[in-house]
Amino acid sequence: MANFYNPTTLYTSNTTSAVTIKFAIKAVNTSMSITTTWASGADAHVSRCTLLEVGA
Amino acid sequence: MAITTINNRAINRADTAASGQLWTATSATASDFQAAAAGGKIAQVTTGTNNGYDTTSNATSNTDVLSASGTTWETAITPSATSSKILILPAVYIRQHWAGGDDARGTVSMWAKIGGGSYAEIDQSIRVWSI
Repeated sequence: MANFYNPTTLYTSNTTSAVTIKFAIKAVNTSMSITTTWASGADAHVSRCTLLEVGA
Repeated sequence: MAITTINNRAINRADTAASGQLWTATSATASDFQAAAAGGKIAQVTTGTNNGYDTTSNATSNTDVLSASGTTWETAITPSATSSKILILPAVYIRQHWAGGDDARGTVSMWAKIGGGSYAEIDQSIRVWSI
């Protein structure tokens, strides 16, 4: 079973310091993978994280 | 569509615009330097791409998604103003391996940190289930 995790989020940081984003996974009675391949690896999937600074 | 005609004679001026000003029609026959409309501008964009990783977890605690170098995959941006907001557009490809157990489920979450601070979870919207 495969899917894309893509929740668009507007984040209020109130800072001029660097804002850093990461992702995490966890699982119960199964395993979760963040991977570039589907099944035998015939396809190459790329994950991206795009960040936009939106001015007030 | 409305067509704006500016006063050509008024363009030929010796003064210059202040920072952030635009040349704008101020009436049907006149124009002048005016402050640009505020709000809604995209100040900068950065994209982190992860195409060389394979992070798998069967743990009930959170495991960081790694980059090709084996370290935590992180994407960063430094806002130019404290009033700015950060629009996050993730597209993370996930795959679940069902081992045949009951009530099997997995979660992906998104975390943010400011400067050298600690990460805080800001989204946990995917829960993949297999029964």
